[in-house]
Amino acid sequence: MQVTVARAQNALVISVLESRLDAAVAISFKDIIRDLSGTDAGPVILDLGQVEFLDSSGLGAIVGVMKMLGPDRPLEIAALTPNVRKLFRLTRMDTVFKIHDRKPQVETINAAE
Amino acid sequence: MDRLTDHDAHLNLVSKGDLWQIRSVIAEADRFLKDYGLSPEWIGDFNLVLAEAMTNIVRHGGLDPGSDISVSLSLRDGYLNCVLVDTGVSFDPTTLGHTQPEPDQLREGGYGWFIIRNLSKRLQYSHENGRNSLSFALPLEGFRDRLG
Repeated sequence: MQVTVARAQNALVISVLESRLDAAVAISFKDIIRDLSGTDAGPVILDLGQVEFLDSSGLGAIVGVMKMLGPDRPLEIAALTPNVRKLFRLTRMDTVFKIHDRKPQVETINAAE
Repeated sequence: MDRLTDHDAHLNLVSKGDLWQIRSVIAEADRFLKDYGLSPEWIGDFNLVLAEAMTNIVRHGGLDPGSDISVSLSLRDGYLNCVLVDTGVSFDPTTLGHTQPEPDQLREGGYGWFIIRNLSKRLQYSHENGRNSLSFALPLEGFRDRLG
């Protein structure tokens, strides 16, 4: 599971550099986001622009991350690819998350694994 | 797209009951369906149904280590039919996935059968001689309107 972390104004932007966010990686995804999301208040934007496949385990992990972050750090989603967008729509999770069409302009990038 | 190769085609694959192994089976199925001429969107739907069904077998099937899940794909008469056979504990999905989990409940699971039911047709399960057999079908593009 590879991700990058960057800042965009008051938001933390975490980009998932995997083509599949599925049952095989759901737990390590949750762990790595927990380790990287820190404690600063402000939105955490999850950039899924590289993710071409999301299953219910990956979706459950995203919901788990949202609950873990709590209300002071709302989880937002960016850059959904077509099949991933379809799953958000099918499960109506597009009504739960704020969804950005594109990844926001970021200032600094750190890779993490 | 409404033009496909109109020949029948079949593919048989075997996976160990392991979340990483099922990824490679799904990747092989993807290549086969791409060669057949199906679109990335259509393949994405099938990929999702197959992943949900196989993940369920790995997580809840109680498979012995080393035992197999067999995957048979067959394209004919306007449908892709898929049959999964395993030797894990029997389970009957008849009652599962009929209602959509309420998004506001923020559930971290329980979407799998709902997704399978929404994206596939002819979902059937049987258990005979210690083997679970789960089958489902997806209408092929270009046949969708005619066959519903």
